Amino acid sequence: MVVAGCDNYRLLLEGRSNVVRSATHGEEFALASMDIVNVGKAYGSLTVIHGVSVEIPDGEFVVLVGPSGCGKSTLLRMVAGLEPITFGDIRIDGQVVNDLPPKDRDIAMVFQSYALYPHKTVAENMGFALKMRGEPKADIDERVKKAAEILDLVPYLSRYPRQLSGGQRQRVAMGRAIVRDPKVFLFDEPLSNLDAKLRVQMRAEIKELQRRLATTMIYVTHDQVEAMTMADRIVVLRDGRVEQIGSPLELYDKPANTFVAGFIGSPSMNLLKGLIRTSGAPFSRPTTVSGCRLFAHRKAPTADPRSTASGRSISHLAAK
Amino acid sequence: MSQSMTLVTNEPFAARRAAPAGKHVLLGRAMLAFATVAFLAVLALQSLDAMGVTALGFESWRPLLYVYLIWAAVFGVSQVMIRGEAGERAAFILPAVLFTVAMVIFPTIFGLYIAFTDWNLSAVEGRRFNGLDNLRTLLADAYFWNALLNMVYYVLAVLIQYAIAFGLALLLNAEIKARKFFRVAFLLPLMLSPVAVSWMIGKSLMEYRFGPAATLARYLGWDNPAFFSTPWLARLSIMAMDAWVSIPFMMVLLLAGLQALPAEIKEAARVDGATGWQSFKEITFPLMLPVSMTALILRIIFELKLADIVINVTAGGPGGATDTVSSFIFREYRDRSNVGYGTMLAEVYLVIIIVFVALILKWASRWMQRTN
Repeated sequence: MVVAGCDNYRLLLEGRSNVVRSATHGEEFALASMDIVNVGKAYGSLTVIHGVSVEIPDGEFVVLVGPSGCGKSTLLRMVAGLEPITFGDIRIDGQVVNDLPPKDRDIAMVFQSYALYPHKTVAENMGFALKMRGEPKADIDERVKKAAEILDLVPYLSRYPRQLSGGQRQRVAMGRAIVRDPKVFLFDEPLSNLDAKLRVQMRAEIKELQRRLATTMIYVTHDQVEAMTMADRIVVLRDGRVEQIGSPLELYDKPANTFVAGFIGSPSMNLLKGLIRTSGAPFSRPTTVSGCRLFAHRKAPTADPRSTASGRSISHLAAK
Repeated sequence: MSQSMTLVTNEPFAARRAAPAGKHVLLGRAMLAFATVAFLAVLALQSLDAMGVTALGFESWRPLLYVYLIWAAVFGVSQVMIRGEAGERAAFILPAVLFTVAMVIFPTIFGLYIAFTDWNLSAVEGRRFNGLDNLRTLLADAYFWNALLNMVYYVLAVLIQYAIAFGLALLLNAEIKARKFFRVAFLLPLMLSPVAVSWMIGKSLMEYRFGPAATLARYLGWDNPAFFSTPWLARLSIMAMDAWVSIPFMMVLLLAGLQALPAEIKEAARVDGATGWQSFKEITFPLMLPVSMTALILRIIFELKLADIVINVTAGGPGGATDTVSSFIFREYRDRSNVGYGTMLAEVYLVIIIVFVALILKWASRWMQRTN
């Protein structure tokens, strides 16, 4: 397994002249921002997503994370146009795309099962979207070749997916997305079928790819380690609601609630039950049930003097 | 710390793989010899008796069946005794082999013998060997060649049935209202007996004078709606009825294939910008090729044996236009009691079917390979 080098990425970027220029000269240009505004999904009377709003500026890597069944994949499929939206708006570059079919949204998606076309070669798989757009064959071949160089897939271009290993199939799935040069990349748990070692490696590769392409990416995972290591911003979802949106460190240091606190971090945060006493001191002092007094890092909410949970990961407790 | 490698062998397993000889070789051989001699003796005795050479023998051939069963059992046991574990392995398939020999291979060979005899059930004298006479008659039989040509048309009609069945399967696979109802409703023709269909539709619905279909055709301005009057009209009517009965069979196979297609692949095609038709042409149809080939080959084998509808509705007419090989063989047996010639027809047709299907399978094998 080879990690694609910087030169390879540059090869692709030459094809995207606007990006190169911006990356090197800092010019203004418009790529795709994505706004998810109060989007919801209901199956009959059962509402599974209760109005989620996320603003994604151009070029950001956003990870949707949450326990299984929280609606993150449904949300991604709604963004892709594979699932109708019950209410709310999805905007790409300010344009509402609610009713556009997937092909008109200029998005590319990497599926959990890779969803490669088993009867097509790697090259045909990667060039399929361009072929559907009716681009000339020479252009398709050239762009497929460039993407294959980036992903070290050149020796496999004439092979069929069944002749590839899991990691190679994963690369082909990414290649299929890259070739199209879409406004937004969508990833639906793309690494969950790989072994642990390859997963760590691909994590770094996807992140590196995103940095080079500077394209907006939305990435769904249930693995909070993936979220913490890859994301510019994390959206924590539970039961179809946003629990918190923030950078990995914000989530880690200032979890908005005990759910986020317990979900983020490995090993997970220890939660101690306790009481907050307001003794007039500038900082209140939470007291655990067993009577142990702790120093609060910041001012605890004093309006609600009931029992509360104070969290600090064990590593922090040990250090302080 | 250095590590040494030792070659691990499983000696008991290796010893078993070598399959030691049985423990009772002599006894086994003796049993097998005795049973074989007994079997051959009964066979010879009964054959001589049947040919009238000797007066000694059983009243029927049934004792020979019992001796065959006993011989088969002894053969199995003696294999274990003589060859040990190899014999045990053989014992797993011996029942199937012996059953096939008795129920498939023997009747076929016996039928081949009958095919070379002159045997008319209504004649006074019995079966008589007549060499290649039946084969010569067959080669010169215009009815047979006519029926064989009709089979070409009928087999080609399967392709149209396939196209319709694929369309229906796509419809029933889509998210439509009352999908379960339609799935059952479209299966009904397959559940009906073709004989009932031929009377229900061919003989009553399409009846010339009072049949509702004929009445409707007259109402629509067709002066003379005789569905079985001209050769091509009759052929098409039969094909339509056959299609009505057998399209559901292909449809069910294709529907099962469609449902087994991974949903994510079709979604990937949608994201990749394929329209409905492109998605069908580039993804669904190629992925369905193995299922399609299976459905087509099964249907062609069934179609080659088409008889019931033809026999009941047109009896092969008008002028042999709708005749199938099977309905022709049926008439040879049923109307002329000509067992010898009928069997020759059946055996030759069997050979033709085997060769034809083998060629199709060979040609289709490249489409049949599993792609994932």
